[in-house]
Amino acid sequence: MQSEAIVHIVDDDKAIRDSLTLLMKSVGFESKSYDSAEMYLNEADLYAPGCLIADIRMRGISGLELQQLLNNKGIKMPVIIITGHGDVPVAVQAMKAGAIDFLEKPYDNEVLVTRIKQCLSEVSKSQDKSRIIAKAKTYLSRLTPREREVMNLLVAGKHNKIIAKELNISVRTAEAHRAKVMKKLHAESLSDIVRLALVV
Amino acid sequence: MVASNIKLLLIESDQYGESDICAALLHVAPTQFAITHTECMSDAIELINDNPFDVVLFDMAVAENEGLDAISQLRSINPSLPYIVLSNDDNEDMALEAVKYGAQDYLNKSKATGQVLIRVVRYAVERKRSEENLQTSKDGAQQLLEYADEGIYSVDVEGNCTFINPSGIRMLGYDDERELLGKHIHALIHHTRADGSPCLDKECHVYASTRIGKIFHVDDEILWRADGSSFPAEYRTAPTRVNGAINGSVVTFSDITHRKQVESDLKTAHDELEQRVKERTRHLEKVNQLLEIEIDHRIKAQDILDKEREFISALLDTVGALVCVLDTDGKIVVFNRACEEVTGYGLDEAIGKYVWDLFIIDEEIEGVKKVVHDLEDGRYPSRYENYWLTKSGERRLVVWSNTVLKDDAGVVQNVIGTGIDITEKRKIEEKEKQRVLELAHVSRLSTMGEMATQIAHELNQPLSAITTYSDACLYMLKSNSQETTDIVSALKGIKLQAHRSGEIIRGLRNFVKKGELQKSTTDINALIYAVLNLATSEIKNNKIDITFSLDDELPLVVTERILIEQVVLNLVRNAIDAMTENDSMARELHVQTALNNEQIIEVKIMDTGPGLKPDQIENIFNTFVTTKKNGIGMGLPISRTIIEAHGGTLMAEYGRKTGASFVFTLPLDREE
Repeated sequence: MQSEAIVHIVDDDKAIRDSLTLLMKSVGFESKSYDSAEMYLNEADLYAPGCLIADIRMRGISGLELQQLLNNKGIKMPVIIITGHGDVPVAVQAMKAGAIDFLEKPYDNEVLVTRIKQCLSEVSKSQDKSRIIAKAKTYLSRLTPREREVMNLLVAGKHNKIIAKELNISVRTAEAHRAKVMKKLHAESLSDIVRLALVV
Repeated sequence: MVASNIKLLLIESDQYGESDICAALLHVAPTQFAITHTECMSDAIELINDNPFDVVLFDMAVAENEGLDAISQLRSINPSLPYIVLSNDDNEDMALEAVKYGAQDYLNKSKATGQVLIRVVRYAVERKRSEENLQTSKDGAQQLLEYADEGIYSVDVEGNCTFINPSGIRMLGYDDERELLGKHIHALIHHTRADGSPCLDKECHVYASTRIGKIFHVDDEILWRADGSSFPAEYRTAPTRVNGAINGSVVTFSDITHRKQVESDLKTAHDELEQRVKERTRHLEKVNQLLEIEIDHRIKAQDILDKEREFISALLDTVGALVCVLDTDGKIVVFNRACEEVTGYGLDEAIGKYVWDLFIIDEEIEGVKKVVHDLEDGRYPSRYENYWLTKSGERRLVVWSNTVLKDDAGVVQNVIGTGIDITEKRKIEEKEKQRVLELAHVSRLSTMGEMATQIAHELNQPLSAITTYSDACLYMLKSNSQETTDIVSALKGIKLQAHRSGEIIRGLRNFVKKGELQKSTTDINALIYAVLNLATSEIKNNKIDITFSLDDELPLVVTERILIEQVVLNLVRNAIDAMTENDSMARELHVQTALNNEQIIEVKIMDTGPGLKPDQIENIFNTFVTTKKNGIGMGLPISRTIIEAHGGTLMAEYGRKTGASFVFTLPLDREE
């Protein structure tokens, strides 16, 4: 199954495409790279098994637009979004639209590889899902109301400063709340929090 | 009078023998008389002729009937001898008659005693001597009157002439005194004044002298001659008295025609002299007047000159500029108040000193000397900037405009320097420059803040690629199954991306770095490429097309490079921001450079954004004015300040079709 599946890499940065191609090769995934969404749409077999790694910011059709296009066409291609710094609100949008995950540059390649494996495994995917929901519920129940507020704002893509301002607390307090939220949710990144929040 | 030996001649017919008279005389005074006796007339005449007798006693009896004739006869021989006639009772009448004929006395012999006789003789002798003395005195006065040069006459109280001397007669033109004596002389000689008016008696000084008894001296009247002519006279008139009572006046006068003539001549000479003096005086006055006018003119000219000098002096002292005049040696000759104020040296301390001894700092002395010599040789540098050392040791920066003063022959006499103390101005300029620098820095930091996301994204690309390459390597090495070509390829990729990261960081650091302003020759085209490179991700992400029309021949220009970079970046980012606000428009950024005819570089940055409204064209440069949602309105004012500090301008224009266009200029040659 794995040999049939293809990892499609869409990024306008040659270095990213190049390095990801090597990475896929090193872990034994078949991959194909495209320098634009248009090229992917033209050249890739959209219905063959596989997954899509796409950058949000690209000339022409952006990653988000591409995901939307695929959704609109009813193509169930698992999508992993790669973002630059500060693109959290867009990433959240992507997650809502059904993306498997979003990864901030510079991303952890192990996480990326894990996610690709998940995408390519239908079984684990569904198992994971029920387990993830249960886990999320447990975690979220541990949050105080204030921590819940902070989490919601984080998921909305707000920075610490904005959160502090909106909740009328100091930036330091906001940072403390954020740290607690991360800990209670066993989250290592913002995307973990977003994923948990979206699951429930 | 005690006279001894009175020599006596006795003429007596002696009938009685020895004469009684003789006997009587000798008896009474034997030593007093030397008696000679004779009885006849003829002997007596002889004796009188031959001997100097003092007295003659003559007995009338000798003469008998001819007695009186005999007296006359004897007197004719010697009239000065006193004759005493002797008589007897018979002929006493005759003796009396004899006295009338000139005898001194008579004596009746019959009654004469010795003592009487002696007294009579002696009296006769004494009287005769008195008479002689008087006569002598009378003769002297007469002589005086006769021979005096002055005319002399006398009048009685009636004004009739009682005497006039020969000089007087002559001077008055008469022949004989009788023509005048007893006459009312005033009417003859003093009737009319020189001016023709009558001279009345009561006005006459002569009569006045008689009337009131005073002496008068007159020298301004005339006297008339017998022939009707007149002469100027000087006269004195004095009253004459008899027993204290005025009985007339005596007048002495002289003809002062000559004196008058002399006086007149003298007066004429005097008048002439006076006239000459007057003329000379007039001439002198005229000369004097001319002199006065000239003096007046000179005073006025001097006055004007003084005023001009004062004016110039006041001007020199009033102007804020330093005015320093040197002679050809470089010694100070003029040193105005501004110089005193700036240097702290007084006029006295500066005049005559070499300018470089007093004011010029060591390292600039040669330069100043050269300027002075160049000026003298006719080379005039328009401006010269140097430091002047004040008395307190402070350095003042002065910018000088110099010129020279030449004499008629065109030889340089003085070097004139007009200077302005620009120390404060330069400090302010430095401060302003510093302020611009700080503003630019703030602006850069603010730009960086705004660009942080973009730059982080930009940096994330190579970093992500590197981590991915490295992880790929690790996986490949772990599996041991991979070909080394892939590993080499990954490592190459890492190296490349690491360089890429380095480039991004270097560009960023160069830009943010707050450097000292360092003028450098700048290739504006290269600068534009560098700035656009920095904004690459922004441009790319906002899907903006860039087009260039850069002048390949563009010359280098001296700029504060990082400040100009800042301006270009501000303008480019403004353009990007303007265009991203409007999604539907084509996004085109056009950058253009050119050199115009005035040797000014023009840089134009055009966008296809919404453009500017007319009121925005100018006030967009005001601080805190912005068209951006999140802008603070600092970028354009700072950019304009920077460009103006380079001598250029920054303007907003309407774009070619749509959007806005910003143009800044940089002159190639600009005054510092």
